[in-house]
Amino acid sequence: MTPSSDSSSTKRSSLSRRGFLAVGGSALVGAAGGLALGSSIGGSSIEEPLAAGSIPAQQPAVADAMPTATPVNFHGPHQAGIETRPAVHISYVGVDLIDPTKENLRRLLTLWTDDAARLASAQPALGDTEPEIARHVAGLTIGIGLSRQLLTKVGLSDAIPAQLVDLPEFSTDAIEEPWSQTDLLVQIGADDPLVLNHTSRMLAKDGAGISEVRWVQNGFRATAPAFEGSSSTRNLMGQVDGTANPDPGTPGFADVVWIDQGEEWLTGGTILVLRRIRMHLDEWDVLDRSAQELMIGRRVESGAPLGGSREHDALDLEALDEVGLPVIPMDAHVRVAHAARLDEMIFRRPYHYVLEQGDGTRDAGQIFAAYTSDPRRSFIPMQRRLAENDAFNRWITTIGSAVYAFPRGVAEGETWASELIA
Amino acid sequence: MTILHSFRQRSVRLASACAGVLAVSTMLSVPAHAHGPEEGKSCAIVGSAQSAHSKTFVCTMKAGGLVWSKPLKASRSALTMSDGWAKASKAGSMSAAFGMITNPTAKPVRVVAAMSGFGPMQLHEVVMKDGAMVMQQKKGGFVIPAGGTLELKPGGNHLMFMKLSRPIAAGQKVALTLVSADGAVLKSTVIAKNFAGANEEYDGATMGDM
Repeated sequence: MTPSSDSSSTKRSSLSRRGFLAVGGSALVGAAGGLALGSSIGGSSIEEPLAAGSIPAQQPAVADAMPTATPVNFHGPHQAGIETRPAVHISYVGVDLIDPTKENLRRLLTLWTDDAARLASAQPALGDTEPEIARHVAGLTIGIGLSRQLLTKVGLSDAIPAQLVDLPEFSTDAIEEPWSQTDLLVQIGADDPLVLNHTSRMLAKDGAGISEVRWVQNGFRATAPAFEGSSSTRNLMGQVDGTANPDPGTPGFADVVWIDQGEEWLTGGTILVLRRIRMHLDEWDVLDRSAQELMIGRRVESGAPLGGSREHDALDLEALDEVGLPVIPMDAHVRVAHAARLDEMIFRRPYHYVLEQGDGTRDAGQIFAAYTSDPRRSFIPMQRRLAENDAFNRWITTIGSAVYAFPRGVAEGETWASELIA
Repeated sequence: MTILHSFRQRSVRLASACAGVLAVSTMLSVPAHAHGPEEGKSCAIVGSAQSAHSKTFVCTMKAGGLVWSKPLKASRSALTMSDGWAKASKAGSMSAAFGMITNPTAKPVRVVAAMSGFGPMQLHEVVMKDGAMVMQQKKGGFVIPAGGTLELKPGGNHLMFMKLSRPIAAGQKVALTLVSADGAVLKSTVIAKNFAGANEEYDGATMGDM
């Protein structure tokens, strides 16, 4: 990962050049995410240099090697951690209100917004017992999501936007406890796991008595590009992940992700579909590489679609081979996931999880985070197609699923979702 | 009058609890001192109290001893409070508030009292005494140097809620009033937070003296 060399001029930059409309969003490989590194400055998500003197002079060399020297601006029209550069580590924390009332929601969001604004600017939270950790920047972003069930519980049903829907059951889902829907979600990204865990603990301590943590999904992503010159990374199966995503900072990204009308608290916000997808890695290993590539519809090494030669070549869904069969099989993952139109797309920030089971085995897979202005016309139809037809389904199982509305970003001194809790 | 707080024993001993009550009696909801606060008369402990006519007086250090101030003016203090927070706690318990008090003026300002709607408050410091960290009332109040900032923090100077008249819930806004020696007031709203430290538990035996 060399963000400094990844300038916007060298990045693939336009929707058309990237062949969006032809490639489309795909669940695990096609529409991966947002590896827009140093150039991923979009809208308000401006990265600002840290005030002089904020970094101790004796900072070890790693702080220079990692893209952590500038804080990600917490304030702005959108919450940070979506259009901004994806941090190396992520923590999705599912939280329920103990006594779900509007007043308790107000207390919780008041505390958490204040904590988040301070910590994201490398300042300790009020009453922070480890202020020294907080002073390390580490690209920290902290975001909040509210669920449909939360708004119902606290008497705010009238404020539920049409696009904040419960997902239908998909035939391939096998949801396991505890990875189901919660009242709220906290999304914490940081390049330094110590900073991430300090933030996570600080918020949990401040939320104690009002809220309780139901689950934590910790994830990580590769720090190296999928291959030299690519702005995608690889997933646990070695596949190029992050090819067909809208580029942060472009109008196409805004169209795909940001809600621009309706409820004021959500104007500038988005909907997150968070799925936990177990990968059956040992069974995948049984397939030889060419079989793996037919399942997915892309080459492993280059990420190029079958029939193409480069990662960002458009899918040729009409091409036939010498015996008249589709070059990209009819049940290949990328074909089934393919979004025909821009408004059917999602923006993905894929992270990987590996949980040691304590007996020498592992549960591993992907934390699939799809941001969309309306899942009814993007994620849901795509996932219906995948559940019915995707050849890749044999090697993955969705074990967690939840949907949250991410409110608009806040100005300095404002509280998240203030219109809801006033 | 000294309130000792041994962090080892996590208990507070009131060395002369009754003396302290005189200054804060009306706020403790116990019978007021027979004569109430009166300008120029001696008082026993730095703090504030209201007279029967709802005027607020401050017991403050003058040459040679503690006396009641003039009734407070409503003038706004030049001081500012930032990063303020209070420890959430239940009714009847002690708690504390913290933050940064900044004095932008060219003269030192002495803060002599703190008030809130949560029962009586005192200005406290933590000092080393006989080998233990003890909490005691800050004689003469907090002096904020000219152009300087005083940090109130757990284990250091703090604003003490002596006995919460109602709970302070995490996430709640708490209105505080700081009184300068000249009677000017600084009003500030701080956020209440859960905090495991800054435990201020009374020793039950000495509470009985009050």
